[in-house]
Amino acid sequence: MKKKRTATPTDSGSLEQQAQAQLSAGKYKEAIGLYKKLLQASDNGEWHEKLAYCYVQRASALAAKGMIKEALVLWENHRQHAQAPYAAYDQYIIWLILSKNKAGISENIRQLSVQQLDKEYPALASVLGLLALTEYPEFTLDLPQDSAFIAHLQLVKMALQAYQDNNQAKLDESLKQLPYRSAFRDLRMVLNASMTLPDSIEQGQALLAKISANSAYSGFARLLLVSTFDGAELAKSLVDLNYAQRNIISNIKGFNKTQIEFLEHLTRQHEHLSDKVKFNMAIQYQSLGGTELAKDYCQQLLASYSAGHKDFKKSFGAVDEFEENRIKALLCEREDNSYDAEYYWRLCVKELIGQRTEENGLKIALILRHLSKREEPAEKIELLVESLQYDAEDRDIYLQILSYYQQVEMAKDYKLWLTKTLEKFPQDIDVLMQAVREATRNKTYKKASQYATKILKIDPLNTFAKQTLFSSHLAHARRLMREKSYHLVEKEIALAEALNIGKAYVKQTQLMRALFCFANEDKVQGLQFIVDALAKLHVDPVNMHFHASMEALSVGLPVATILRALPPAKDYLLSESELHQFMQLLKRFIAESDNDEQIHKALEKVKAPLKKALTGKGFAESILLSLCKILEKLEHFELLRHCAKLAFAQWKKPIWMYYRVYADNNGKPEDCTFREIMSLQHYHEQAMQNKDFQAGMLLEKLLDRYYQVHPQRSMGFLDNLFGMDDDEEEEFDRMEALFGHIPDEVLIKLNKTIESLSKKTSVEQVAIDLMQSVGNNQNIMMAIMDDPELFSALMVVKSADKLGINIDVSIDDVLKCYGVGKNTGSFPF
Amino acid sequence: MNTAYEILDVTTTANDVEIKQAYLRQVKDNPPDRDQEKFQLIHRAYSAIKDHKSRVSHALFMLPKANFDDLIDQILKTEQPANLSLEYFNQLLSASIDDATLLNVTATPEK
Repeated sequence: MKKKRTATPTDSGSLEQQAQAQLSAGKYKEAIGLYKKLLQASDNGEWHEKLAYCYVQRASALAAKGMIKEALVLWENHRQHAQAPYAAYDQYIIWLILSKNKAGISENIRQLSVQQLDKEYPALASVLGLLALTEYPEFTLDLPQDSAFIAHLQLVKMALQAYQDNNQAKLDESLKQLPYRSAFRDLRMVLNASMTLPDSIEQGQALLAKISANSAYSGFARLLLVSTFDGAELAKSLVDLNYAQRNIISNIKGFNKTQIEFLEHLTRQHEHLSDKVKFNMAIQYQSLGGTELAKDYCQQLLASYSAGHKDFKKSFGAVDEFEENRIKALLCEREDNSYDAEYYWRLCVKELIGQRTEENGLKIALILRHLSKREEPAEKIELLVESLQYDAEDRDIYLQILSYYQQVEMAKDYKLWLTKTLEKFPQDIDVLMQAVREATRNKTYKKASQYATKILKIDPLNTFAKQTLFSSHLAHARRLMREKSYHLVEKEIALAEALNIGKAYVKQTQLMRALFCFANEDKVQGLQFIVDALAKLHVDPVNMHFHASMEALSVGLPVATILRALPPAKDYLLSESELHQFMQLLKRFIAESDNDEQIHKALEKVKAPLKKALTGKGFAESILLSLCKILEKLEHFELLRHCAKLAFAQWKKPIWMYYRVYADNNGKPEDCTFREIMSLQHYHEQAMQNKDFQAGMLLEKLLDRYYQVHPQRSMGFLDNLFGMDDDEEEEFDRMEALFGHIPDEVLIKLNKTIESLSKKTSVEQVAIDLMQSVGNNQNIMMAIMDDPELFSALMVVKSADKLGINIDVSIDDVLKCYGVGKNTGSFPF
Repeated sequence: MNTAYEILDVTTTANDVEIKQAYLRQVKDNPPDRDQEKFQLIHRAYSAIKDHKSRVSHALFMLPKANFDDLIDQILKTEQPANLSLEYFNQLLSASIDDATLLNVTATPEK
């Protein structure tokens, strides 16, 4: 019975405000208390409405937390303060369903109107539909029988019957009659999906995925979807389901008892799937997975689960040693532990050698080649060579070996391996090309021609082979001309022409014909031909002169006569492209000529304009560098010196210091002055700091050659004190005794000063200064000359004096330590 | 990541000819001008297994994955297709009802 509503008393205004504030803030519990208090004082219609509202809101909140009983009580309280139709009535019935209060459900659904069931409460209708088909078919009796819901339920039952009878037509017909707003709308979608699944799993899955998460059938759709999965995907989904659901899906999938046992085992363990668990499961269920698969799986796991060895042996017999080591090696490699990886690979090789078959031989070779990838070049080649014992047919390995020996200039080994490779792959173009290059390098042109001819038989369009043959024919023609066997020259030139390899080559044969004419037929006409041919080959007189000189020298014709007929070259300044052409020509002659002396003679004719061009034209550093490389190879120190001096003045880089010192000493670093050596050391350090390893290596080569002849390394003044010379024999270290107490930072300063002093003055001058400072004592001078370390020690004292650092060591101390006669001079220099 | 065999869609026992045919087929379907990355993947896969030596090398230096999923796939293999009879259909429908689902039906659908 509702309380009678009266007007609000004016003294309860602040309480009402508080209640309203709590309601607005969503604090329904507090608002309920306040409104109840207000209603105790006075019956107010608005307060009843607000209290009812708060009860419903609070009920919904508790239900969402799963507190259904509390939600029901609160909603019933709301009913005390409200009139039908009640708010959230559909939710209230659902909560009754959740609380399994059958009587309550019946009582309330009996009160539902057709309008409410079919229109106003679609969510409740879908739940009632689901329950009518499953747990509570009797509820249908309490629902309005004239509702669309009841009619649709009948259609769904017909559809299910058709589904059982596998009658697609009848099923479709029944489902078609269900309107869009039916309570069974989602069930229709699920049924359609179920009918589609046997024909197309993807389409069926797509239909199931369309079921909304808020649908009463969402759980069903999810279960059906899981039932479409297989294997691991199915297992991963099943472990999240309850036992009954798993059991039904297992039945749908047709799993046997052991498979169901496996699934239950997996469900129990799925959150703790350690290697041990998986290892044991693989063994336990090997009857399902197959012994081979279980064995392979367990073998792979042994790498990380070594405790399984015993069980493995018990279940599958002895472990495959090779496989175990292979996996360990690969795992080590994955962790960048190449040291242990190599150890395991070596064990693999050992295992394979024990069971030698052709296949195992190949595996050994592959492992050795695999290991070689991490090694330094020399060790790498050793492994590659070893690998050929097991697989001798790998052409690339032979080529790698050849390439290595070529790079490190081990001519003997290169020759040996080239012979082996040629024997193994006599028809291989790459190998034959290597043979051609080697024969050309060795100036054995006949051999080169033979290999080139062989290449052309295999590949008639091979340009490299054609070029080789062309050069060979011309070289032969030159020799014949030199020997005055003119009757054979014509044939060689014709053979070169017949190769037909391009215009540039035609110009060369024209020059050969011109030389031939000059030598054998008509001097005047021949000279004109030579001039014409050279004019076609070159635009500048410097290249013409050089080319003419080379050709004349190689065929034994008078150079001067020919050069006189050409435009003068003396004052010509080469352009960059002409210099480039000159370098190409020079390189070609170096490669083709068996006589560097001739090239030197030819260069004499053009060195003046060449020097002028280098001085006056300001060529790019890269061009000068290329030229220096060629001149270094040719050992033409005069031009190299000129070029390096110019470049060093401009760029001051380590590489230019290398070329400068190398040229200044005519390729004999052993003749370097002390100052040059100091400079080389300085620029070597700079090169290494700048990561210019090429220049660093070249500088080091010079220094090594110097120190081979001058073994005393005393100019590395304080190296001993820095612990740099580890190879030195252990003996009484006088430097250590004299200067061991000096801190490293002071030593570094001293070292720099010594280097600076040494660069500014020659070693001889320093020695004279020293001698003067020790009173022109000839014995002391002799001692300095005999023992360069004494010189170093004296230099330390000198630099300390220069820097004003007190190192507690005097010149007397040094001389005494080295057992040299008495000092007569004043301290120190 | 798929193995070279999976990329080319050939069995691990396929011979040189079969692998080459599969490679050409894949290249035809995935030409380099359409998807350079995919083409590279296919090409690398082919290079890895194109002949006997490549296959031995591929097998030797590939870390086998101890794949528990593969094992489960094999363990849960069945001969017959799934049987979703009306009986199981109804059982599954009943088993799908839970409090969360029923509570959720009155919630506002997620957009």
